Amino acid sequence: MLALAPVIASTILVNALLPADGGRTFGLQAAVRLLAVALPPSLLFITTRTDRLLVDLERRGLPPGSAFVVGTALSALPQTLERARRVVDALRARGFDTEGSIGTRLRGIPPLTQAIVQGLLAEVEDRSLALEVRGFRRVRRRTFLDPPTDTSGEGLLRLCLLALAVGGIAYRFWLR
Amino acid sequence: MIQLESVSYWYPGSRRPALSDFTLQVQAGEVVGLAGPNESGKTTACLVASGLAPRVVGGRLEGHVSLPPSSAMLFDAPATQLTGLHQTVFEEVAFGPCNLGFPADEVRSRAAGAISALGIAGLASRHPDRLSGGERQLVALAGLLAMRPTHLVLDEPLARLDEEGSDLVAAAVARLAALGTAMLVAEHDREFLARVAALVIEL
Repeated sequence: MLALAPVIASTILVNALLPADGGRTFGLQAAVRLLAVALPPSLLFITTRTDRLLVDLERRGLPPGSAFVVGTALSALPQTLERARRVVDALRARGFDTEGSIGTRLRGIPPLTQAIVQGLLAEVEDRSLALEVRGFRRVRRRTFLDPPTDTSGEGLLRLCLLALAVGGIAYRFWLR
Repeated sequence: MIQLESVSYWYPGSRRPALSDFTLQVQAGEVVGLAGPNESGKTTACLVASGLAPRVVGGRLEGHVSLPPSSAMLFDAPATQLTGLHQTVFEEVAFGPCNLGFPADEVRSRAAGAISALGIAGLASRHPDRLSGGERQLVALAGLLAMRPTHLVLDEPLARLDEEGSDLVAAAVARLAALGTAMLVAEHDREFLARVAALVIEL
């Protein structure tokens, strides 16, 4: 959301400065639309633990392999950042300058990207073997420890939100 | 019992065997060590003895291999052995028994037992991503112990461990052997092998 702030601010400002009629209104509308796109995924990941989400999805029928791929993709960012830090340290230890002017920083990107991608690819087989020995491919019916449960209020709220979403779509396309 | 007779193994696409005419026998409750320089075939022997090669790794195998039904292997790199999906060490250790479909109470009991056996109860509520390499290695080993395999293959289990961690692994190996688990341990540390293994094979 913070990353989107400059885009939203400049959208409003640029449209407000336009000589055409309704520029300010158009700018505000565009900003609200940008927020509408960015807010739902942000809210989801702020309020929901990835592992709990995946457990619930798997309990509702998502195949374990798919759940693992989704979970790995969602949790890959911190691990990739840690790997990038290690690669940068290794590059610096070998005398490769990665800080300073924009040109110096840009020159550091190819070796950094190459090392990260190669490292991730090399890990694929190790991870696959590690999952195999942990019985991942033998899963018939996985046991879930403390699966998320809904209170009756949460279930009702979900139904209301679903009805609201369907109503909103119907209003937008057919009733307006 | 783990039994390999005159086993040769080729990795996919390789013409040179990574393991040649290798014979090994590990009885229930016995610990056999594997020693040798880098590239001598220790990891390959572990992969074959755990049933991962060629079943999962691919490649070609000649000779006779006989393995018990439930096997587990600990690898030398702790970072890739943890799933990265769990918020606590306890959940990470419970991952294997959960996959095997045991009832929740038994999963908890197995995970708690494995954590206790390795002396890492203090880590149970920590996030696996915030552990040191040695701690992660112990968590990975606990994850295997919780599955209670009938034979266990350890490929350089001390790679990231300090002296205290090595002692914990040695104690866990002795305890598992007493329970009847057949174990193959590939390790550079010959002192450790002398402590835990009844027989050390040089590759």
